[in-house]
Amino acid sequence: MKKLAAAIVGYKIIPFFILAFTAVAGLNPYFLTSYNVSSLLMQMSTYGIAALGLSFLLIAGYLDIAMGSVIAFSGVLLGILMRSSPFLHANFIIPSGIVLLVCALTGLAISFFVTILEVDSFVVSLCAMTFLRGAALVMANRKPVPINSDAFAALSQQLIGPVPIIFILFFALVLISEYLLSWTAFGRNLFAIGGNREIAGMAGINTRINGVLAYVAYYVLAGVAGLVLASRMNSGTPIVGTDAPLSIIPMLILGGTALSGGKGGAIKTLFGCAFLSLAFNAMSLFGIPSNLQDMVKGAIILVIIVSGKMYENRELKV
Amino acid sequence: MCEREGETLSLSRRRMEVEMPTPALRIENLTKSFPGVRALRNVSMDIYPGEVHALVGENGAGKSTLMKILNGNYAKDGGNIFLNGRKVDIGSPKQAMSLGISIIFQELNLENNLSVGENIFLGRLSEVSGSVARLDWRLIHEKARSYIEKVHGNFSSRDLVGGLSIAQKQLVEIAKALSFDANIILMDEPSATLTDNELDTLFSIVSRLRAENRTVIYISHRLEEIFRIADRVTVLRDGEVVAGYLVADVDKNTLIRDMVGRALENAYPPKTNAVGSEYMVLRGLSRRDTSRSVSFSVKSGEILGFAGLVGAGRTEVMRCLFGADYCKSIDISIDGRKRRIRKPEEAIRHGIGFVTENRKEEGLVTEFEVAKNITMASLRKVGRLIFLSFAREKSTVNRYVDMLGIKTPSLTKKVAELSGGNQQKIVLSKWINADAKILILDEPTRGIDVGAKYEVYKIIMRLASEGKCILFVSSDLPELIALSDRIVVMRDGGIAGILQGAEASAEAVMALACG
Amino acid sequence: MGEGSGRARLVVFMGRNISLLFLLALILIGCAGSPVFMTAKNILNVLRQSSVTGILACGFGLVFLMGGFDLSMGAILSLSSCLVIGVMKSSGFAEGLAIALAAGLAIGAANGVLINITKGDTSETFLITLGISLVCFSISTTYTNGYNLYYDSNGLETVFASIGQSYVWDIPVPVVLFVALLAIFQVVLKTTLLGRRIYLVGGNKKASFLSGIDVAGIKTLVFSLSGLCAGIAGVVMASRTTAAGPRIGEGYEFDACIAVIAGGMKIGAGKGGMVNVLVGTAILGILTNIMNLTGTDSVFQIMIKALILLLMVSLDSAKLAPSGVPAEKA
Repeated sequence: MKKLAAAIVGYKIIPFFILAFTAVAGLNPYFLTSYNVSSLLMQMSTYGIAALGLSFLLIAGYLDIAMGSVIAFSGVLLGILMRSSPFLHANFIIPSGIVLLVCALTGLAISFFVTILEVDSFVVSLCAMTFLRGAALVMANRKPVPINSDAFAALSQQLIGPVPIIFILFFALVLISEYLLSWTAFGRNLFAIGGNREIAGMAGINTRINGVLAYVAYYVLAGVAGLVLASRMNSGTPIVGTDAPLSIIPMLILGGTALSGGKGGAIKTLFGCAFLSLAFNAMSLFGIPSNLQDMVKGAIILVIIVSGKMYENRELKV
Repeated sequence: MCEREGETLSLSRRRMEVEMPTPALRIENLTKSFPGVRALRNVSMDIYPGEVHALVGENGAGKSTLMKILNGNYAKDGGNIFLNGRKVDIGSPKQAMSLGISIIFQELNLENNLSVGENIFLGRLSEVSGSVARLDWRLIHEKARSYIEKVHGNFSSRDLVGGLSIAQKQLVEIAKALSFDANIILMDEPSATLTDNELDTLFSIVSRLRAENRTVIYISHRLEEIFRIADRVTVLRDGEVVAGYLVADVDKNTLIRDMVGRALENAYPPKTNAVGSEYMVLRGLSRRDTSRSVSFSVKSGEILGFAGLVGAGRTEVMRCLFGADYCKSIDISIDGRKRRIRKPEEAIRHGIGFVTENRKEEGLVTEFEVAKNITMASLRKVGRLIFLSFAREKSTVNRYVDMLGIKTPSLTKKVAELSGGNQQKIVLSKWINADAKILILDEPTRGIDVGAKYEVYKIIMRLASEGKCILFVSSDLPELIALSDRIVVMRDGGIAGILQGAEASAEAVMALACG
Repeated sequence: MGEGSGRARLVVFMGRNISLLFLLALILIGCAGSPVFMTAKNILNVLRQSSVTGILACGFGLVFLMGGFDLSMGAILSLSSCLVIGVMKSSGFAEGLAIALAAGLAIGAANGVLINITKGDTSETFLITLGISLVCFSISTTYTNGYNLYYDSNGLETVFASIGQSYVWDIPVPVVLFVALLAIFQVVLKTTLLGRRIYLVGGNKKASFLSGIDVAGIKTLVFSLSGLCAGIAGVVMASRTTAAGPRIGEGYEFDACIAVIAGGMKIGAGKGGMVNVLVGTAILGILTNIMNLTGTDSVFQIMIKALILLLMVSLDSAKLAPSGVPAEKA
């Protein structure tokens, strides 16, 4: 248990991932089939993209659970926009852009409360999560908004070999995020802010602007995840994503992102995401019924969160 | 080392007597007030290039306010600041840095999860790299390396700051100041946690800075150091400049008298305690991660001092004894009987109290009132069955306010709003009320002004006279030697030696502590 | 300290009593907005409908004072309501009640144990209770196989039915339960040693630990009590609505959170207690009532509540009540 806890912190997730991968591949012949692999990569990508967004925020020291609602909201908004005119329906890139713009503006608004009014980021996210979920339900009139566009649906169906192009998108976003985090002043500023906000401020780093940018990145990436999901489901569904926070945060913890800020990375998150998706994929492959899967999922998430923090606090008595 | 410093000192002192160049820093009638408090009143000072200028004063005298104004953290209410003759307005820490003012705080301002190089250039990475879109890490670390060499740092630019010792971190701060080409370097209590060797390194760097014609403003409570390193000294008291001297022209007692405003006949109360028989014996105490173990005993009525360099392990031993940290099995016997202490609750039940070194984080609930803090370790005594007796609580609090002289405008004030000395008295009250027979004091006079220190010493002496055992950890050798009956000297996690009252001189202690 | 003008002092007073002002404002709006607002029937309705949230808020408030958030209350509520009806059908009311409440207590205790293992702070309470809620919901779903459970209130289970549906001296039983819980918790908090320990742990857990307070024990106890409150709320709700479902309580912890924060409680602050819970529940209840009377869509209601919570925490953060500590620049 302690060893698992130690691995959960830091890059050591990689050997564990390789181990798990080999184990599952060895135990289940169905695992390495092209269908399963592409379905696994596809599964990973939706929440993985949102997880990338959360990386920016967590590194900067902010916690947020609204991503599920943003995913639902963006899908619904896309559906409504595409439905509103044949032009927008045909050129879905435009409504997609509009959706992402709206997400960015929402992120801007939320960041106002957190960075300027200095309200606790979690409580704000609780409000945002509820509000956006409600907005999605209202806009969609409580039903999924169908998106009848073969071209749009094709985005989530195209493969190159066993690799869905959505995964390639995800991977590209991972690389871009890693670059931003390690090789730009913006990324390094986030680490500084998450590590110690006062010291970062005294060094002249504008904690507010960087915080706002992190929020915008987070909301836009969650929006992208929502678009991806809408493509997969051929509809903008207002009730999706309720399990997002509890699926995504463990991915980050597994990848070595500290909940307290100042630590983390895009590639780390990728591996955390891969590991968790692998675990859940394995559960399905081994035929575990869905009720039980949820319970196991919840238990795994708790184990990850608890052991991660337990390891961090191992020398403390209280 | 000392002789060389002496040469440089007398040379620069002579230089100052002959010529009067433009002051590197001139402060004119600086005033600053906070709600209800006038922190600085018409403070004026001239500080010259190539000078090491000491700033002394009790806690609350205004030193840290002055520093924070110079650093751009606070805005002045009135007065002017001139740098090399030019009037400046210091609006933010970043502006201060660009004006060539660099401050090294006592609580080092470094990011532990970032590398040394990144810390040195924190907030300036794209400037150093020369491009906004891509950081050139090789260049950044190369440039950082040159500053690390200047301060003789024995670490690499890519090391994470979190893994460095305090002395090394201080060198990183100085390297950072040099990277700004700072002409005015403010050091706030830099020596508080350094070993003698590290102190020597610090002083040689300060001398070098002086030789480069930079200015160092050095704040310290350790008057011996000031005589060793500074050229001139300014004394602040109650927000005003009360005196300024050439260090060569003044002595320690004069400085103390200026700081306190009255002559202190004795800095320490007379020893009135009588050492009785053995009360507590410890054997084989060690933390989980070390192999060295510690054994000692303490007698009733005895003040057992604990000396040692920072990192010697004194606080760790105390925390183990109190059950606050995980330790390997230890053998404790109190009053003749073996006891098991696995958590603070048990330690308290056996009569042990622990005044921690950081009262705000671990000793008090700063947002709560005085009463709640005093009774929190002894709730049973103010309770009747499961209920609280407010009457009993009130009388308890009043008793301690009288007994220890706690000054507070009202009993419902938050502890956070009281002075350090009063806060410490509240912590002491907490443990006295918990009927502690063995009291662990870890740096009990840290962050307290001279007047309050004396009162704390009196309280310690009174407790010992009542037969209590006092385990007194302190980095202030004079106070340790003055009050202790015996001194345990620790080194590298183990005991280097135990000195009896008479043989405990500063030299003997230091000899054991350094090894 | 002599703060000067009367206007400044008014602002300070308002800052410290925002909740009461808010409550007053809502009452005025209600009176103005609808003629039925002040009728006995409506008031009784408001009381009865807020009692479930109120009971939850009692537990949430206790955890909040100690410095945490219990986001599993909705899940525990659902589980308890399913259990009480399910077990009652096979083994009778007493056993159903016992098991439902025991489940609440046990899950709350599990929350406490996990948080103690992590030695965590507020952030850990969020995530751990969220995780527990996931597990709890899946337990409920497994137990009911996804269906809703019903009971016949005119049948044999009249004792159970009376919990949700009958009166004590013309006051609905749920309201009596709420007020009783409120009173008990308030007495415990303000007059007992346990209450003082809860405040101290919320104020500074390290200092409390080093002063000999059993921090782990207090945390477990408080979370257990919170779970118990959720269990009680589940029983009341099942009784009143004659139905239970695995997700019936979803989102109720959010309401409890709003009630507590709108009522003016500050996390780990040492001041405040069940009075905040009472005021906050009243605020939430009246707000919901006004929205119902004006025919607001249920989803809109949730959105408005989210905005109100945001408003309350923003006002608190904007620090309308000054303290004596000097402010630093940037």
